[in-house]
Amino acid sequence: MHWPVDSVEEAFRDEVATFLQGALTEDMRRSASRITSIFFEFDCALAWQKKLHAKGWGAPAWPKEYGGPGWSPAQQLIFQEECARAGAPLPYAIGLQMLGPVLMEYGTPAQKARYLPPIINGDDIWCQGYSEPNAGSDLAALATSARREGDSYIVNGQKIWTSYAHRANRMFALVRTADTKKPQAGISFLLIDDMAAPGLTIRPIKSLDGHVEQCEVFFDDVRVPVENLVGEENDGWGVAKFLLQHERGGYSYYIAAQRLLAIVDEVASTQQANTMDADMQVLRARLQTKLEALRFFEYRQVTGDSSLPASAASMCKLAGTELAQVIDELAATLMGPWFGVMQGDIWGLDPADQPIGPAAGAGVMRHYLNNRAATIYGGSAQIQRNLIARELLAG
Amino acid sequence: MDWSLTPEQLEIQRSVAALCSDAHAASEDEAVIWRRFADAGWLGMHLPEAAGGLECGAVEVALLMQTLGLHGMPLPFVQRAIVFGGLLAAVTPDAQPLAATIAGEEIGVALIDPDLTVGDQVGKLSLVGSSVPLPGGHSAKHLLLLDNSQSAAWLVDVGADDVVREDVTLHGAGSAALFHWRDGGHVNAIELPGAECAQAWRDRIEPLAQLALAAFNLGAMEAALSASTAYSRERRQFGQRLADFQALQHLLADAGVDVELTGSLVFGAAMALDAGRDDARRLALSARVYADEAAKRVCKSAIQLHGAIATTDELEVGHHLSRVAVNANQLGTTQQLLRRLAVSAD
Repeated sequence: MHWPVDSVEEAFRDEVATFLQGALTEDMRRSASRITSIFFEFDCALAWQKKLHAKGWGAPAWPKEYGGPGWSPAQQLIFQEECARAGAPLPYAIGLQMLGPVLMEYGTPAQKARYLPPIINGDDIWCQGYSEPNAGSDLAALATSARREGDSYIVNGQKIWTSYAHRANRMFALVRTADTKKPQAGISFLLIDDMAAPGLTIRPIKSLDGHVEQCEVFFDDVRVPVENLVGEENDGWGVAKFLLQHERGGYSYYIAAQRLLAIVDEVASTQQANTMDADMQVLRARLQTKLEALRFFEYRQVTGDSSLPASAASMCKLAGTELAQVIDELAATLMGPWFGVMQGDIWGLDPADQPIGPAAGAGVMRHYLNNRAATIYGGSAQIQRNLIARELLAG
Repeated sequence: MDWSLTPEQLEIQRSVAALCSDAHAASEDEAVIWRRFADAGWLGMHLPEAAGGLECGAVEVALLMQTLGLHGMPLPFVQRAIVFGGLLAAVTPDAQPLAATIAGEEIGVALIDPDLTVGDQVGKLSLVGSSVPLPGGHSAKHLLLLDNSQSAAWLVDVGADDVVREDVTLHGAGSAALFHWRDGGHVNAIELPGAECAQAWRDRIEPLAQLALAAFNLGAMEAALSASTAYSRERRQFGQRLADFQALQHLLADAGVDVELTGSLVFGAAMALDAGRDDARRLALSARVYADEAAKRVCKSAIQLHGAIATTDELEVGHHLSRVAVNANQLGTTQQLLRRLAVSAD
């Protein structure tokens, strides 16, 4: 067990930091600093994706053969750490972190050739059609059907909680292709590659924070070519589970918490906000210790520690999302009476308005509300506990 | 970053575990076990070879302490070997008490940051009242006093009649001693190079000691969790196993997360100390704080899950709470350490 200081890694860190310093514009930094969600403001994230692509860093976690830089896990983490330090936005992750790995694992050569490059260059925006009104945590209960008709599937039904369906041009979806006794056995993974297809309707859902991130998507005899099936028909559950591992594991919770704590510190240092009293300082220190624990837990995952439990990704999600919610609470306290003031159009690259109140905390209320979803999506905190306990109690 | 254990590290884990099991089986008393640790060379494991040590790193120390915690063996390794031995080695590597400490022949313990009153005569030490209880101080012949604020350090001969030692026992089966000074009088003591002691404490000894306490608590919480999962599979109420109640599953899941996060931080901080990384000292303190709070949570959950039987002296599982709670008040309370982390980047 050892952790030598690696001069090659340190040189890479310097290279990344230098690039970030030059590439990030003031507009991007400002937009990225107003964190309201795990998703950064859409136009800012997209502009950043295009800049990364131009540098050849558009898909940090992808191997070279698919257009990635071929970085080691350690390099990927350094990249993420430096992006957070520099205040860079995170690119929109649905295509990069979720669909990309799925296509590499299960996709046909034609699917890979057609769909992977536009994920990296930012031309394609994917959304994830998983949840349905009657299939949330119990995902296998999904009912949206795909009926085979010649060379097409005819899709009927409804998806919900589809992030950014209103901005996406493509969707990957889980659909029911057979009514089987075991619900998992009749599910297929389908690329619905045209969000403007006839019969497809998108209804944006306004969230608690007043903004639209989620949508409902309705399918009324939507025609999808058979070649858009990923994996075997009725074998989509295996693909979905593979993807869920990436949804849970491909995101650094400790870095996200670090970004939030940086906001806490900045808010605390502004005149208008409350200053941190001794109790809040101790809470801040306590949260930092949990962040450090999470950091090394994530390092263990990145470096492939063989002693990790099988439920490590669940543990990470549970600890990481709950930590972020406590940081939200600290940030809220610091904002005092400014917490809750609804802001105007201050979020994008070209804001029309100035923030009201402490600028560093302009996004605190929205994040506070938006982040309630963190312990619900991708398997709720309770589902994660079930999974962790199942492993602890096995045998 | 390599998380796998080397053959040497596995061997430390294995031999400490074997020694603990044998000691439990034979109901050996602490003095005998301490001698066995000395014979294995472990009392100087963290010290440089020049001082008679094995030059092991923080990872090895953490493995030893984790194993002690796992086996419910609250030996005063931190107080005697790391703190007392470490301070002596830092200032007087040739001194006879150090060799005797490593050999397990003489017992010494250190009191950090007492309210030292240096006497009106130069080089004389005056003390008033008593010390706090010092784990590992029982049967001590030497007491090292280190006042960081004044950078003053003294080695006191406990056998002299101006210092009276009172041995006490601790909950969880550890032992300690109080030291009473003859009121208002001078204490016969050798003055040590205080600045060097304070520097060694700050740079090396305290981080290692705090990490070691964290590692013990990690072992204790692992033991408490594994006892709890085993009992959940076996105990039945209302016609089903405890393991089948979701309320208890979620209690265990939270404990599982606590154990994994604590283990990650303890060994991450250990590797950072061994590599001499910039944030290593801060990480060691963080590990201590996180382990204190997580270990208490897990040990309390273990008692809750076992029910009434775990509130008795008869079942080992409750004693883990005693040990981690005792540790959480050593070398600064959890709250004091959090204050330090809060106000200083150090």
